[in-house]
Amino acid sequence: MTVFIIRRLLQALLVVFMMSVIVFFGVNIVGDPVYMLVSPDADQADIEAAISRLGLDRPIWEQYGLFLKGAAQGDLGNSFIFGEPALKLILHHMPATMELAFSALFLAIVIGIPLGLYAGLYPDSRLSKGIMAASIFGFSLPTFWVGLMLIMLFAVELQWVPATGRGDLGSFLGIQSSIFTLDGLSHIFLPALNLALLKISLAIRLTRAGVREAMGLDYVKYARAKGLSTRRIIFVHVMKNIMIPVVTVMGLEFGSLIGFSVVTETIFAWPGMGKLLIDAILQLDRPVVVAYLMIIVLFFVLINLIVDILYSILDPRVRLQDQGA
Amino acid sequence: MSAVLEVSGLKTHFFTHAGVVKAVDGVDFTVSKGEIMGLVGESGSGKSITGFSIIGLIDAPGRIVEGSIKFNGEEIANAKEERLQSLRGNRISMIFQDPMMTLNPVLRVDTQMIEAILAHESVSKQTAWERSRDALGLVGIPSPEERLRAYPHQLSGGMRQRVAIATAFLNRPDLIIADEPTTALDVTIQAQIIHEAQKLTRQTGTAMIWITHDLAVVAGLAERISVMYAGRIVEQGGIDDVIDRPLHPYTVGLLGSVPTANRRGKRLFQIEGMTPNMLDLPKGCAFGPRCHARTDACGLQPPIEDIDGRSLRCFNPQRAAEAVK
Amino acid sequence: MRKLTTATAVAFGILAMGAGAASAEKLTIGLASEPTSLDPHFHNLGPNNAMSVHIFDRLIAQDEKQRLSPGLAVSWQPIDDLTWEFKLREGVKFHDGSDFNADDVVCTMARAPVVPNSPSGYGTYLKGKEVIKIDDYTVHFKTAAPYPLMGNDISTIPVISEQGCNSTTEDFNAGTAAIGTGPFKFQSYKPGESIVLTRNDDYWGENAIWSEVEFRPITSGPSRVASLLAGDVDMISGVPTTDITTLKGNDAIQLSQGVSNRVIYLHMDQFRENSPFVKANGGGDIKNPLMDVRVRKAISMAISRDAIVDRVMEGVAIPAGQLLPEGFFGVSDKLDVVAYDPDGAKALLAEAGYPDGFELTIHGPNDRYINDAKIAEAVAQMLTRIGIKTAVETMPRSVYFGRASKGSPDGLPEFSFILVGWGAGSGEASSPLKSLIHTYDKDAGFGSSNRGRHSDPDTDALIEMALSTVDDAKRQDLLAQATEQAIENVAIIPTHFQVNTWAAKKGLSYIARTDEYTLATGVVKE
Repeated sequence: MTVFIIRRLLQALLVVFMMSVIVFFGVNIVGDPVYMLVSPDADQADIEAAISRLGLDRPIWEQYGLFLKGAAQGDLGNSFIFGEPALKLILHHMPATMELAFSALFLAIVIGIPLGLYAGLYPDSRLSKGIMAASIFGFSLPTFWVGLMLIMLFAVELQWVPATGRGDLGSFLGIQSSIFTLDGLSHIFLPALNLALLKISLAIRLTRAGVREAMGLDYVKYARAKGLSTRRIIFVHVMKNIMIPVVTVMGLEFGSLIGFSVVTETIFAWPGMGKLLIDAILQLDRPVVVAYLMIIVLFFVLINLIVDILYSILDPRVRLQDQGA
Repeated sequence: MSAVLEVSGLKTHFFTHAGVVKAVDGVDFTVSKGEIMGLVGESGSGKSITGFSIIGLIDAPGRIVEGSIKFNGEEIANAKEERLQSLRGNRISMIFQDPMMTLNPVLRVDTQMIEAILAHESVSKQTAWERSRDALGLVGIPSPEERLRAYPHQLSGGMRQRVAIATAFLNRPDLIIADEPTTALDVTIQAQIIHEAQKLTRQTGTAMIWITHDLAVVAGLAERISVMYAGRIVEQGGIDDVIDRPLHPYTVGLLGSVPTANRRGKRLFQIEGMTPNMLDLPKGCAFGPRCHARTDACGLQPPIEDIDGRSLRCFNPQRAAEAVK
Repeated sequence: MRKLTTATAVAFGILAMGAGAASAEKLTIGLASEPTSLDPHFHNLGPNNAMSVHIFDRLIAQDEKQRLSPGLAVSWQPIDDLTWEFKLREGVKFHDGSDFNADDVVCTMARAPVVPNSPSGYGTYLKGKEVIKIDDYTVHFKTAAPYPLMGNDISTIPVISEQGCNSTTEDFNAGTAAIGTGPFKFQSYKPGESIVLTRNDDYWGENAIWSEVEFRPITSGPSRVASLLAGDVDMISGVPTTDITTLKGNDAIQLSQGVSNRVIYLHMDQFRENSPFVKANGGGDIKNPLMDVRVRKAISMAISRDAIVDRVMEGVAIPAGQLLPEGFFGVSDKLDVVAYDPDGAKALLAEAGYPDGFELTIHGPNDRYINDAKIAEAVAQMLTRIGIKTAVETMPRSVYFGRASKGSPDGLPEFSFILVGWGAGSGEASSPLKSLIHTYDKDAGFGSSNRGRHSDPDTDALIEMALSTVDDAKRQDLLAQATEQAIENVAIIPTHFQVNTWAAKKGLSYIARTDEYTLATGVVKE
């Protein structure tokens, strides 16, 4: 297992390095960050001063070399726009995104799996058909639109929750998060729901498919032949089996919840990393874009690793590469 | 001896889109306490369905349309699910064909054995565990504690089937239905399993229905034999009697096609024709189209006749016996 | 006697406390763009400047029409050709209690242009100026040549204390260095979430009516409007034009609008005979027609500014006939908006030798100015109607501006016909004239945004003279004349002035500002 993990981490470093190359040069091709930064009043001399101050007058290879040198010491450069270290900016915004992502995952599991279970066990009931139809909407409706609709309904019309923003922070077991306060919960509810919609639909469909498949398998028939209660058959025998694909997929999707919750964060003015990223892209704040994507890649690799380990725990037939027999 | 199981006029039909499949269409037999009955037939003859009907595991689109199944005098055909659940794994057990498919791959052996006990009796987990361990010892498994901790895929085929057998005996049932339990195993293991099963039934006085397509298996094991063809029992009687003097043309053909050392050099006997299409059975005797002894009378369904302790559905039994010689 | 005084003092004290306690009013504002730092010298950016006005005063203040008035300086005038004397206000205290004096001014002016990592600071405004302390409340600004715009330039620099001069941008963002003399004090800053300020009760000027202000950045237009409707915020800036009509009809909402100093205009390639995006009918090469003033005039006449204002901007704009709206310094009263005259335009085109028109591509940003892409499309349609078949290409500003300024293979402006905007930060006409109209002169710093490379020596002369004419009246005339020449020669084609809209809950209104800043001090109760 240790060898397996080490090997994975080394692969991670390689991927992160390649990502940094791609993004660094890619952002360069999009446009010139200088014009995004200097005030229009600036004359030619000011613009040139800005260019040299940002190091943009050097050849791109040299710029990348300097970046690597700094990266080896943990310095991923300073944001062109904020002047602060890119890494610090991202880490500062990370907790907000993490709590949103976890909340969305929580909703997806707590709403999606039970609904999918029901739809799988009673596929012909009206409720099941309704659930499946709703899941299609979950896939097809654009997050942007749904978010605004949620705000219009729950915040403007019903005035049950605030429209935008993050709530007060609370502390629990040394972790600071807005989900530990009532105010925070009222703020996170809509964006978490908005973000979770796609994942809920996915969970519903995955769980239902898993249940449909499992119910027809011999071990279910055998369990019934042993006289086990339906409850035990579903929640022990079936669940343990379908959890494998569900956990795998949801785990991988979690990566995108963290990295790309851009639309939800923008609509709900949620101060997370996603919004930081999109602003950085639009304004060609290259250090932030590069740092962000490198971190996200690391996250993805880490999540993949955890999912693989979880998989091997859930399914005893699976051995991880490099494990002894 | 008292009858543990009395089946009369059992009809289990499947209502599919393509038509009605009369998988079991008029089956009668009785199993006495401690008796082993062999239920023999080719694939599609309805023998497994008969077994499932008894234990009440016929699912849509099939159902028991007619007939009676009396277990210890109690009518259980189409009984309430709760009643059936309390009987299954408790008073009537089932052993399936392929233990790799029937044991849940993600649960340990001990889990799957203990739950069979706890579903019907409130004992402590420790007690249930000890009983499971003892049961494994009984079927000849060495170091049963280790096997208990294992997952199904870590055991060999023969071992798994022994676990299945042990599980079937756990709650001292009155009847065990074994559906092709040795078909998936190699010959040497087969012999061992059959031996264990025989030993256990003798020890515990459990009745057993041994479903198989292999006459040779049943010959050394069962006391009575029922031969099924196209959903009906065509011949039934004491094992030695039927094997020495088969009356139904199908039975004759079955016996004839068993390769034995005595017939070395001679061409293997084949029953002409193909297994019937259950959706489109011929009028009259279903075996008619393949029968050497066919006469015009066979255009009608032959009724059951009792001759010297033998039950038979045939208009022309004598002639069939002669034809083969 | 003493007893009476004490009693009176106590009485006044109670009254004062009472008055203070009574106005414990909190205001929440939803901002369209977020400041990128609380360091007032870090980045010369609209939102940053607007935020710093709350905490830091300038020597000279700009009112909602960008007219200058005394701030931390009570007077400023040229005492000779090369020297301006600023007299500073006495008795002013910073938020930490320390006194304000000339030392703070000197170190401010030294720090402002050289903040580390600054993407674009205040160097432009302090170039060539030397600051000398004369005494605790007098400073001199010296230049190499007469500099009439001293006041305008100095009015852009927020004044920090000596302590602040020794602080880093991080200190400002953390709040420890965010000590100014302004009407509000720093309370908290959560980047991306909120900035909270509390009233400075010891302010030298008029106390704000708000005891606490919270700014929340909500960059998505629809979300911002929804927040206002939901009651999360009391006021928002940057109301999207599409929502204005609905909000107007909403009794719970009050709109405040005002013209801005931003003109939207078209720049044409006037220096290349072979312009990359101008083609003859059918796609062949053509000698650049945009170099002919008649063609440029025809284009200007082919554009219906009223249609743009009414249909594209949904009424939220003012047709433009010159570089700044009425009321600004340097505006000419002889210029009218060019009338919409498509027939006259066609005739003029024919006279210039293009009776069948030609082919053109208009380039513009799609995320920089209000409805920018739609404006470009409207212009393209109008030109096509008079025979100039115009294709439209818009792109994000991160791609656009770089290319527009020097995207061609030889580092020159890449496009032939572009849509751009110009906000006159100084609040007077020399700003657009200097940067857009004057001949491109890198060394002298002229024409930095003159992407069409228009060049007229007479106009240049007028502009340069204006820039060194200290007499206000004379300068006003020179600027107006230069503008008239520029418009006559169709150096650029202005289409309209942006109007900015703020929306607040009923009972509140906002004194709209031409510099587009959103200030808590501008929010008043009806």
